[in-house]
Amino acid sequence: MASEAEQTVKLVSSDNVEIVTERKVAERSMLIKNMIEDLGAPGEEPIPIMNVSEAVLRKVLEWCTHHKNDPAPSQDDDADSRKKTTDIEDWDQKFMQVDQEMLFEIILAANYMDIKALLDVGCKTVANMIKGKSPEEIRKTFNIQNDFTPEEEDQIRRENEWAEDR
Amino acid sequence: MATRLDALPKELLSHIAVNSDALSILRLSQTCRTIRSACYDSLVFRELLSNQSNLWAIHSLDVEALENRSWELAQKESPLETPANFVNWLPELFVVKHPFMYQQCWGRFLWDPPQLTAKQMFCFAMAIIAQPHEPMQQLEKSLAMHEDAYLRRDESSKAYFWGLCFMILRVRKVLHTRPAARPYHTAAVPYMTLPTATDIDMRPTNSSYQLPLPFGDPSSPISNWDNWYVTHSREMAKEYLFEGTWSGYYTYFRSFVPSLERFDPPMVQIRFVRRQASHGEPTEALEVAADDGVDGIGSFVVRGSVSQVDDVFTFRGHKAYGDGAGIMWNWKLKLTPLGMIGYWGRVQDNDELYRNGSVWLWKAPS
Repeated sequence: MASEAEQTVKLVSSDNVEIVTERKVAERSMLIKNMIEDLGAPGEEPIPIMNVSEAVLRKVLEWCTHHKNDPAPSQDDDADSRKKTTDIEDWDQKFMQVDQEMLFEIILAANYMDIKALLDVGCKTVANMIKGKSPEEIRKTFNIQNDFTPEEEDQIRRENEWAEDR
Repeated sequence: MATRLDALPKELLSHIAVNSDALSILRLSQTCRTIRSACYDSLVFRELLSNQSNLWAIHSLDVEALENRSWELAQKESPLETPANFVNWLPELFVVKHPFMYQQCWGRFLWDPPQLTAKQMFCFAMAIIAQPHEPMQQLEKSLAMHEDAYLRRDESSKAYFWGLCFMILRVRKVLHTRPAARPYHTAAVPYMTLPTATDIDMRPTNSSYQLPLPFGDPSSPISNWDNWYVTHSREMAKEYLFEGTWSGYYTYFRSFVPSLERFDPPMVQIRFVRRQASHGEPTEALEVAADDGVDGIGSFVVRGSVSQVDDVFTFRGHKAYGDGAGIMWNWKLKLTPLGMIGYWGRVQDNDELYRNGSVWLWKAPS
């Protein structure tokens, strides 16, 4: 029997593509880790990742491969996240240089697959894109449709005025 | 369907928000309904506050207590709902860059200085020290309004902290924007940045007294802060003063030197020693001297004494250039956990110091 380090698992994306990867890589995802534990030893049975397309899944696995040797998320998750800095490490920053659609797909996938560190990196990336922008600039950046009525918008602007006058 | 920001589930939008800062959240919340409902939420602000408390939890503060307190606060209050209560949380609010810090609280409190307590001014000062990169024009304006009326005369501790805030903001600005305009920029003593929150050792002794948070429960009748502050000052007037080396800056009041650009190099190598009282009279005061100080003008000595009145420890003395024979300026500095803060100028016939500007001495990080 193969040792745990050499074990592979088969994942199936939402568009039905089978991807074989190291068990250790796949287990960065708590969803997959729990599934493997529930199923017993990973067999030939492919694991469906229902909400994630092949392209996104490959991207997520790329991240997991790079981070496969990171210390496992500790039990005391809360305390752990507090110690973290707000910075994103270089590799992750480069990794996140993708188009917006992929960025949000990665965030959704990280959320669905329960990969907390990747979710944090994704959210911080978006937060950094928001920082320093006016509401109008944010709308432009993310192609957000302004659905406030002029009256509402005016009221919100007045509410926030004190924050803007620096 | 293309995946877009405003199509993300609400909990993910909130997650993005708490990775941001308060001002960004306010702006993000102005973009559309879906995002507003996810982000403009006191829960988001609470999480922001408790998540980022570690940024302020420097080595010299009681980290665990701070985290407990911010958690406790986050349970029951929000800056959006109860701004008045948040005055005691200024450092945290700075940490999360809450817009409350930038306008509202100045407007609310600084226009009427007597309303403020020394503790609140201390919090302001701490918060300002902790955020060296935040422009604070609004605060600067508010402080400057009172320069003549308040900074130049008031003897209360809070006025001294007020002066420190003003000085820090001004020094930072000059260091940042007009390096070439300063005099002596080729002097032997190079300009240095002000200490950050982590550079200031707020635990001066090895004694076992508990360091409380500087922003304890405002409803508590006996303020821990007061006890801490007094204990700290008392300890400072002992060995702490004589250990290590002090550095600092002095600045000019506009009434003395109208040019805002006038900014002299720092004072360094100030090592205090105990001094025998020269005139032989018995005195309660602690006599203090330093011989090797250097600044942009030249070498100087410091002579003076620390005395205590009503739990406030004050250094009164002078700085004199050229082994004590040169130009002399009088100093009046209070011993505070943030260092020695106060004013320089000339002592007048009535024994009062006519203030020409501010002084801040802190112990150089070893």
